[in-house]
Amino acid sequence: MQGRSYLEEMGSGPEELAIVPTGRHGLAPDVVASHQRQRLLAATIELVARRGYRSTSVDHIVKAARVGYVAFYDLFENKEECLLAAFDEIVETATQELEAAAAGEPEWPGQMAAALARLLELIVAEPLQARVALVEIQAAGPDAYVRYERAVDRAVPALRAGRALNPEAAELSDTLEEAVLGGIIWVIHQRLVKGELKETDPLLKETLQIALSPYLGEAEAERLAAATVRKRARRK
Amino acid sequence: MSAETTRDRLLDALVELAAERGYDAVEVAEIAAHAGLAEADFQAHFATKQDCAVAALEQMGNDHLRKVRAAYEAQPCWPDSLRAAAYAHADWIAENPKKARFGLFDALWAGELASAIRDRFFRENSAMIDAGRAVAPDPDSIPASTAESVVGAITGVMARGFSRTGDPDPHSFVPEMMYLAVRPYLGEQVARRELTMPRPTS
Repeated sequence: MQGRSYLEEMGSGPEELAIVPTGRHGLAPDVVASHQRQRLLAATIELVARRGYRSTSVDHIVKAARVGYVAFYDLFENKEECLLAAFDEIVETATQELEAAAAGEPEWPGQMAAALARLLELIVAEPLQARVALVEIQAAGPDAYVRYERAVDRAVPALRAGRALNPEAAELSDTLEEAVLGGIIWVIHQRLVKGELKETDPLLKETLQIALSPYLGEAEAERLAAATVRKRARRK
Repeated sequence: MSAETTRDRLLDALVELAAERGYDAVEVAEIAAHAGLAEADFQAHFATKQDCAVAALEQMGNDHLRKVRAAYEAQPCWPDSLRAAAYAHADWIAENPKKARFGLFDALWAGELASAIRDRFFRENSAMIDAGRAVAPDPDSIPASTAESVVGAITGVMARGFSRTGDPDPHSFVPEMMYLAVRPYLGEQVARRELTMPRPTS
């Protein structure tokens, strides 16, 4: 492990222990519970990303989070529920980040470019969260898989808005957006699993073109994707 | 009984039990019993349930790939070759629904090696899709990861079909699969024809 661990970043390091004292103290029970929940989620993300979901136990999680078993089972039914809570939190934060990035752009292609760029930046900046939300969640059983599919589908309406730019949009397949998103996420997933996702821009150009081309045509999608990456390179 | 048959029976037993109750709920003793064998027979072939799952995936993946490739190679032109492969893929799923479900879902829950094998077999199909480059009017403008993204898109379409309806007709996916695979190479108009094209008769 290099530098500060994810647990420490999330404020679950030893110094944080002093904030919520054990034993008798004057803190309201819900404050303690919400603090313990955050520590458990942070520990789950770190452990599941590093060890894999299957090799992580509730025992590992409570020890890393320095939270008791009783507190764990007060908050979660089991390990899977805890992972799902961590997943939901990662997806919620990422969704807000993507929406904020897109909101700064006036046109649909620019919105897609900004959101996709932000997604790739988040994945590079938070590899443990990315591993949990894109890889390990799929290993956690049927319910988790459905939750993962639904999270991907949240981006369908934003992509579908591109149909307004295509005069023949009515003839596009109904499930096109699901398919295109599934394809882009798969490409990112494969890079992540192979440890090849270290920088955003090469993959941004590829995936952005794949996202835009059903609506703008291949040539225009390629032009915009290349322009987006050039603009980012100038800004650096 | 030959070692080969014993092994195959254990692989089939795992796949069948996983289809009934999910991979996680299946125990080694049950796999042996379902195959009409003793637990010692299981241990003679596999160290763990995960090993057995990996062997099952290798076997079904190779069988699937052989049939799909044979159909692909029997047609001289793309996308006819790809369409033939897509129908061979659907035929295989229709003949092996439990294996298909195992390869699509249970493989994800059988450990890292099993997931990696699942991914590898999905990737094996990329070359048949990317052959579209040779007939594309402007191959240089097509992103390098196009075929990979088509594989991911198709996998997603099938996973949704399976998780929504439970028992979908795999042939019903072919027109959409072909649309998704042809569009990046030959454009929207040619791809759209795939949506209404009937199954080839030969």
